Amino acid sequence: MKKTVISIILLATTGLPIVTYGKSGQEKPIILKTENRVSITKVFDKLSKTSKIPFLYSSTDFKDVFVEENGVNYSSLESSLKYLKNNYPIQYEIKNNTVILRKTKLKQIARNDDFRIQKDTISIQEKKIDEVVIIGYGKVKKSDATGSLTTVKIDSGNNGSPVSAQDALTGKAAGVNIISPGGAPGAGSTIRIRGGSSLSASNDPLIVIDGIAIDNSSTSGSSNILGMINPNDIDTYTVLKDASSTAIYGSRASNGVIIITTKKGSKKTRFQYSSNTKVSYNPKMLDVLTGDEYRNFIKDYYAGNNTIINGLGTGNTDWQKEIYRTSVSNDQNFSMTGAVKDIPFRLSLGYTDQQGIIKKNSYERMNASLAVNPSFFDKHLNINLNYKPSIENNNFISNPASSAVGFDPTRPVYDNSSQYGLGYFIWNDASGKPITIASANPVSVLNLRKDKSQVIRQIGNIQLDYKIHGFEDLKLNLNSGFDILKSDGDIFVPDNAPLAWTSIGNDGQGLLENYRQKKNNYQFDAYANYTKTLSNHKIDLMGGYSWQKFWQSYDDNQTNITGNKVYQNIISKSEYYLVSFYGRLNYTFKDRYLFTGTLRNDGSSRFSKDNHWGLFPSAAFAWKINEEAFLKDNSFFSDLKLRLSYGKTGQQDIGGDYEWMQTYTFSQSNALYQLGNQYYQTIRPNGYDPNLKWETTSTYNIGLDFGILKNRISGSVEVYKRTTDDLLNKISVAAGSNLTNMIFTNVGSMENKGLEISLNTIPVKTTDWQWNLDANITFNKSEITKLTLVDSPNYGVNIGNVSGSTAGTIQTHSVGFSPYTFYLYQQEYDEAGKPIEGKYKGGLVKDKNPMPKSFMGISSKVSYKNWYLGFNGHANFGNYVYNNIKSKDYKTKATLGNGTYSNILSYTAEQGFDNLQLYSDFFLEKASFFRMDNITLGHNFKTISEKFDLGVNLSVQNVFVITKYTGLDPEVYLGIDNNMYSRPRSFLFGLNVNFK
Amino acid sequence: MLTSNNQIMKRIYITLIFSIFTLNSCVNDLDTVPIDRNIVTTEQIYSNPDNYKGVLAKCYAALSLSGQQGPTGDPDISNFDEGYSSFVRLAFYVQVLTTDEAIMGSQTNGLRQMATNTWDSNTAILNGYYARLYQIIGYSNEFLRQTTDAKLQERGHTDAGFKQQVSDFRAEARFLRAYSYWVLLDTYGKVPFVTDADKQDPQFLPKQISRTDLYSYIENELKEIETALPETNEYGRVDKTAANFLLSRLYLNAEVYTKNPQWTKAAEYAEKVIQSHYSLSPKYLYNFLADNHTSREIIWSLNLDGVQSKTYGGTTFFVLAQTGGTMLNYLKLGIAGGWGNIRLRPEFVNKFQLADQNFVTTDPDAFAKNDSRALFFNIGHKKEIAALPGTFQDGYAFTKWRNVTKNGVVGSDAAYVDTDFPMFRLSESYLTAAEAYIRLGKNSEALNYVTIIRNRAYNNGNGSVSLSDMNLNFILDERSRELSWELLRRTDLIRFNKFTTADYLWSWKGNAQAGKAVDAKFNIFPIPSSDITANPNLIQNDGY
Repeated sequence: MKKTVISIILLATTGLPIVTYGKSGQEKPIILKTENRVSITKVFDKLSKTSKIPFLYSSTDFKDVFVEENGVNYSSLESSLKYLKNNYPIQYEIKNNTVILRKTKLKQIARNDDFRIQKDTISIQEKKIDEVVIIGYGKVKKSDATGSLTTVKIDSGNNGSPVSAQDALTGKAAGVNIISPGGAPGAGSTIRIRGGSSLSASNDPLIVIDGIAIDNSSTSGSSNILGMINPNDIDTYTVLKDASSTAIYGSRASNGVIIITTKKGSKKTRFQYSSNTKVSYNPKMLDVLTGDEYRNFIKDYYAGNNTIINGLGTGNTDWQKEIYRTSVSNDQNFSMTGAVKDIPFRLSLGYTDQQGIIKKNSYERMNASLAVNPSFFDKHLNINLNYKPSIENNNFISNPASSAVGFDPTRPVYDNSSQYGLGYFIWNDASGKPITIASANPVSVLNLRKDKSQVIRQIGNIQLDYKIHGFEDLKLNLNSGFDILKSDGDIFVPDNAPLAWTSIGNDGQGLLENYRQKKNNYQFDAYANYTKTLSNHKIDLMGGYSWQKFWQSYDDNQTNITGNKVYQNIISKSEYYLVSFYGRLNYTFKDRYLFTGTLRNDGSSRFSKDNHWGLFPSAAFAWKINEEAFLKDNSFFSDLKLRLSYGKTGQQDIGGDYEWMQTYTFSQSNALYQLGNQYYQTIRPNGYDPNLKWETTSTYNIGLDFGILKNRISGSVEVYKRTTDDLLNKISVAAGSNLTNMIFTNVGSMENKGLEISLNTIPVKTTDWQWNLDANITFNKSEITKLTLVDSPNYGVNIGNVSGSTAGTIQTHSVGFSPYTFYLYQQEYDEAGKPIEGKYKGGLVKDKNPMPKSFMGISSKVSYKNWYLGFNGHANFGNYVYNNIKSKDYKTKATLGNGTYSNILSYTAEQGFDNLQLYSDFFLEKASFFRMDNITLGHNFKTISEKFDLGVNLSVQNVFVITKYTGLDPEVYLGIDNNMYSRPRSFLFGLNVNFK
Repeated sequence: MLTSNNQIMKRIYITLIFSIFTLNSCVNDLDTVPIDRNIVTTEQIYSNPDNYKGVLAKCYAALSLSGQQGPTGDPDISNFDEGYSSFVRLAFYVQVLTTDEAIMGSQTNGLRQMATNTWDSNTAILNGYYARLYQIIGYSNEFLRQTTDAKLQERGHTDAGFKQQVSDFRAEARFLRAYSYWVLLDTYGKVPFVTDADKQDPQFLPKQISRTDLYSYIENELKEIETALPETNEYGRVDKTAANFLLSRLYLNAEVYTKNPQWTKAAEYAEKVIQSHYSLSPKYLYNFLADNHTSREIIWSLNLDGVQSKTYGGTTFFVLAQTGGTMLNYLKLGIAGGWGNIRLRPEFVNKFQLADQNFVTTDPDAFAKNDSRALFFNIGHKKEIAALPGTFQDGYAFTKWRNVTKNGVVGSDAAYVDTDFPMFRLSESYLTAAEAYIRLGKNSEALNYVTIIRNRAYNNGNGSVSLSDMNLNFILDERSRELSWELLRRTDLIRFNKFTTADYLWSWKGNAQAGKAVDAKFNIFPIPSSDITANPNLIQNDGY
């Protein structure tokens, strides 16, 4: 072996050597080893990590240098380097934001043989190191990226300990809006990138994990598509937003792409353990009448009506209190890296146990992640093997939040006097029989209804990257992967439970349900990549092929307890395929003019043979202005880049796999039809559109990236416009022209326009102190520009089911309006500003919508020596929420005429309407808010042991919300606030140990 | 050594890589067919003779059930609450709720607009009703396209017995289509027109047909069908008499549809029905019980079952919607609980003698009342409807629909009803003939038929009427007493010009408590705005 190795610790947080290259020279080792000293490379390593600045040195040179660690102040890079320089044989230089270290003796010998640091591989800026960012089918240096992409790295010190992969992204990237569905443990958030470009088709972004595009259709028995991914295993998220970067994913990229790369193996043996314990509680309950207040209300309101007054109960039950609890959750993660026979690997094990703040509700996840990353033939062949199995155990509940608000507070929880209800209070009529249209005692529903599921999911892939021997400019990449899922759920309600009377068969018979879902998805990808640099010209050409299969089955069997009465028996299966060819050309001229062109041809089995294929091109240009002569020596701009892009992406995710072909559906065993003496399975011809084809979105994007004052302030501004045509839209067909009233067809257009600004700043940076403050804000406007064959201002697709009555809707998709625009009557008010019950100005009016006009994220971290204090928050502005909790509450609801009583809000008792006014815009409220997602205080103990570092942190999640919205929580996806699972407030204690 | 080893390894790996490259070129994978055994292609369906009856069953089921999974889950109609989307449930809202026979407080889906005669072209109920009718037409057209002699030949079905069976099926599909077009003629007037002669093509925009042309089409079609249908048929399937029955209804309303009355023909076809093999059931109530399939009076029924044909429409809707409050303490209706929302308007109750208006706890079946059709429940109820929405106790409740048999045996399920819905009932033909005769001045013939109906209704014989009673107002009221909630009231009121005018006012007509006249445009419904926007060939009805 002639070569020694110089390691550059790029991106110190990962601590992995990424680039190595050889250098000649042999040195006589200087033995400095004494007691209490540590290897200087370890010190470099830690310094690099804490300062987030890469160190460049030869490990061979320093391999025998040991230093007194006590003199090193890890929170101050400068003083540490000075200390090392003064006491040990080293010299350093900071160049390109990289610390270059040499041993002093070596320096003398090799003075003229300076390190040649190729600009291409390491042009590094402070903090935002010129990362190699992952893009579709490849990677690119961030500074060479032409498209709009945001990389999010999770700062383990200031992440608020998310349980799900989505939550870690909240507020972190401009243009990315993440809306959690509420506080149910394990539930997945909705992700919207730049609004969402589809109407009836899916608006979810494509999620690619280690090159495998995962299936993001919902799974029975699991409430989170990404639930199986442990956020601790995630290395980076790359969010692709404009068409230039997404078009390489063609058909599935209209709503943006999130590429997740998981942590890789490393030859260094390291162990890491982290744990956190969380205590959560419900921060806010709805103000309803107490038992006494309710009795008084009824006595006043129904004065003289003795039947009603005498029917009141004598209890004082706070039903909300009965269902909520303070819960304790915990999360344990262990990971190790190392090498077996020179093959680096990483193994991690995670265990999460999340207890909901509503009783009985829990989520447990066990997962493992194995990455093996061997290289062969002088790194000509690199292999990445990932395998991530996980098991999820859910204890679901049927959310009782709303029924607890409405349940009569004068009734007891338990009542043994009735032969019905298994000891729980149940509404009985005058004859003593259960009232079947009453609502069921919420505590009985919680306690008696069992709803469990287990989901086993395995995601894995093997990726081979081969650099052709003798023709190293050409690389071949193969990626084969699978995503296999099995979900098994059971629901059980015992005979005679209150729920067995008020639902199921309404006859006291219980429910035995078992459902099973299986998904087997496979992907195969192959591409070749050719790079060549010829003086001022650099070419990077990529072309490939992709094949994906999605298969799923679903069985659901519902019977009574003895099994002799079948409520439902469903067996279904479905599959679809995607086949694609794609290519990309990157051309760079003089290292400052960058061109990218991509082309993807996608075939989907969800369309007929004539319409299988869709072609999705894109083009982008970027200009690194700061590399121009006139700016090169300018010290103000450390970075300045202008980006322009245009491209087309597609959408085929309409839910059904056979919408284009004429099919017939056999009826289930409970939808037969009797002819003569026999019951026949009916056979229905289904509606279809043989001309169904791709929905296409065109995106224009202009972006400017900048860094000033040595990147103390950096950021980007993006303006975009997206137009979606041939919307895959479920609309009314001309009556008589099809076999159903609405079909998926390609009609309509919509438009999204927006502006995104993100800023990363370092306002303070001294020896001991550092303050990082990052913020981003997005302005977005969506509008439907065409919806039907014939333009009509009156036509709208009614959507947005409202609770309080059967099947009413309060929103509409209408031309000239944002999707989900509210469609309500305009309330009239008296002179005192009080709403006049039942008085409205004219008919239904389309006005206001639940989408925020702008949304922002902010995160800050202040560190002082080994202490740090960080917070993350996000805000929405200009969004409206329909307060359905309030609107479905009215005075006469307190007694429904069927012998039951129902509690009402204190608000309703004091100033609410007498009758249901479900369609009044009085209940539509402005719901701008700022939420402090988490605040974390931490301390790292660097010196307590030679064997390990210890970090501890305390954090609060969901700290506070600032809003004028009068309901419980203004953050409601699609704007109808009803029966939401409260987001808990939590206190966390976290611990992590890094073994040296 | 090392190098050569490396070389070998290298070759192995490279070979491996390229072999994987060539493995998966599966562009043909894109041509999929459904893999679910419940979802099959057209060819698969019609290649098997056993499937034909299932497709026909769907044409029938489309009138009572709402989808392929009971009670809900795989709806026929989208973007509309599936529970509402059963034809008979929607027909109730259209034909009964808009009249003096029923009221409810709900506002959902435009129910309040229906109840107060204030609907417009966006009213969801009207949209759903229209969509449901075109769905039945669509199913029938498609069945007819796929079962022509040529198609049978093409698929190798040459068995004579099977061909005869298919021929009957085709006549029935045509009947269901004709029935749907009759409903459209009656409710929306001039509507888009499409038959099996048109190709199944989603891009096809049907042309609008005038009301008179549609009338002629239905008349001719029914006459042809009448000759094709068998004399008798299996239970639940229509026979010759059903075609004659519908023709008599068509003729009875001909003046409304075409301005040319056809009273003679109305009487002629009603007589054909009266002379047929059907006969009146001994008791009125037996037609509305869980074992009403045994009634010889029902010419065409929509068949339901609490276990095997579950729906929130059908008779489940009728029984559950009429039942609420404390009713079940007094009455055995065969269900565990009701919805308690639909009540009777006082004007309907007042069509019965005062003595018959009260619920008698000892006589829940009204067999001891003068008129056994006075099936009211009023314990704790007020007759008047003072305010909307009011409570279930504002207005008397109805007890006509039940899920128990004659012998008091409850139906197969406590939440879903077994009772079949009588679409065509013989007693209507007696009253149709009677009305036609009155209009033709043949009052004694009319009296003859009215007496038959009254005698059955009045257990004690006190129901007899005289020749002087044979006037139009009497016959209209008698039809309401006999055929209440059987989806006819609106059509009848229009024929007597009382639906919109001040001639006859009922509570909340025109959204006034005392009732008021409304614009004559409400005699016909607007074509739903969704179809106006989807089909540029259509012209909206006057006034909307």
